[in-house]
Amino acid sequence: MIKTRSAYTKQIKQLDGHVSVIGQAVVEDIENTAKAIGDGNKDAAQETIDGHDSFERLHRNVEDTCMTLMLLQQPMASDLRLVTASFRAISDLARIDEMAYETALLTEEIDLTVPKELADLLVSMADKAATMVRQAVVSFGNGDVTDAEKVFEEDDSLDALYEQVRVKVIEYLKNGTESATAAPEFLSVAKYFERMGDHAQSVADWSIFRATGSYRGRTMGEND
Amino acid sequence: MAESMSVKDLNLYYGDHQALKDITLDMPAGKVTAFIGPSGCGKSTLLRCLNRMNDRIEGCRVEGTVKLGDTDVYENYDVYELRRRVGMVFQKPNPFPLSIYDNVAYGPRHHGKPSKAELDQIVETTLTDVGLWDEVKDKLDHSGLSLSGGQAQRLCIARALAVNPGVLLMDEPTSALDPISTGLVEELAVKVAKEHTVIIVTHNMQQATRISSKCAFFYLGELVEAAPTAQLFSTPKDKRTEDYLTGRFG
Repeated sequence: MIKTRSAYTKQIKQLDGHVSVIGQAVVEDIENTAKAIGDGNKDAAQETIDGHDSFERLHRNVEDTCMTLMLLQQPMASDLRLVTASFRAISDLARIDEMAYETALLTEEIDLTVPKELADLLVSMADKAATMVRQAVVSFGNGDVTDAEKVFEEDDSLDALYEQVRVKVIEYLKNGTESATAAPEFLSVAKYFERMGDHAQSVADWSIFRATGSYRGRTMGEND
Repeated sequence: MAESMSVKDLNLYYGDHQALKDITLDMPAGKVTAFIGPSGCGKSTLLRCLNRMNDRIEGCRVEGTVKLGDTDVYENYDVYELRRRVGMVFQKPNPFPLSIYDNVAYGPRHHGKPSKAELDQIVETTLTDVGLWDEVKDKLDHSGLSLSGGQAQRLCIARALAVNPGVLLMDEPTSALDPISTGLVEELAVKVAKEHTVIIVTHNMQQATRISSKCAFFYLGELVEAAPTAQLFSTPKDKRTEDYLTGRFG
């Protein structure tokens, strides 16, 4: 249990590092799903599945750290913004990782013989989602609002990719080709990637809040 | 009725030592304004300027303006009238060695000629306002010195409020009190601020966040930053404020 102010300062610094570590782990897990879908790399999917429990433990530990800091130290100013933003950002990152884990399970449990054109689209979505998460986490660490704003710009192209997958899946279903059997799973995976982008945007929102005290245009205390 | 206060280009010297440097600050009517900062930063000195408590200190010189509403309190202003309109509560509860009744009646007796009935009414109303009436109504003739710390501080607040000041200055009013009494005094500060503007010096930052709507941070005699409280405590503009709030000072 933290008590002294110097221990508190150390814990605040560690928290900053932990968000970065969690963010990197999430990016790697998304990249693993791209490898599994694009190259049929089952080991990559297995790596994400095996790491899921330890990721969850890390997530819970960081959550506990945030709550303990708030309870015992009542952080203020930039520390308050860090603790609050971390608490929310790691929740988004955990949701993203959960979806990467679900995607990895899908590639393990069913025979996802993905047609090349669809695989390319899904890998593009995974790459895009991974890029968005990476940018959001980097901006969280360096406080660069411009980096965070790039995440929002990327989201439109991720949505466009999702739309392409959706059209393609409908095509398979209409034509009754062999790929139609796994069409719902393809669409689920695409939806996961699309939602990862939404959560990456949320992390970017918290990055901006951490840097500026403003969340989606609203500044703390402005209505007081 | 609550009155605003403001200081402009205020400098204060104790002999050769300059304790306040070019302070300009508005303290809005009907609100709680908190002064925070490390010991020796000048916040209590500024508070004492507001009702000219520094006048009695030898070698103390004040430049600049201090206004109560539109009136410059250092410009041909009756200091006794000033202290009626700008009351003060200190760190350590300091009831007069008089009865509880006489502690509250002391100010009204000196600032007017109320009848006994009017005085009774003032005492009851004021003690009710500070949440003390039910606790002391059966022992109004007991000494004010017989009260507990929290009760004594509320009696001192009642004494200050009995003359209906426009502003109430509070200099670390809860630093000697337990958490329950502190909570009562904080509630009271917020409640009375609507009718009597409250300006409080506190070392307790959580207290400043709980009760003030505007907060000013002082350091080495300078006003570093003043802002709405939530803004100052979440996104301070000056690095010195940031360092102080996060405990990384010095």
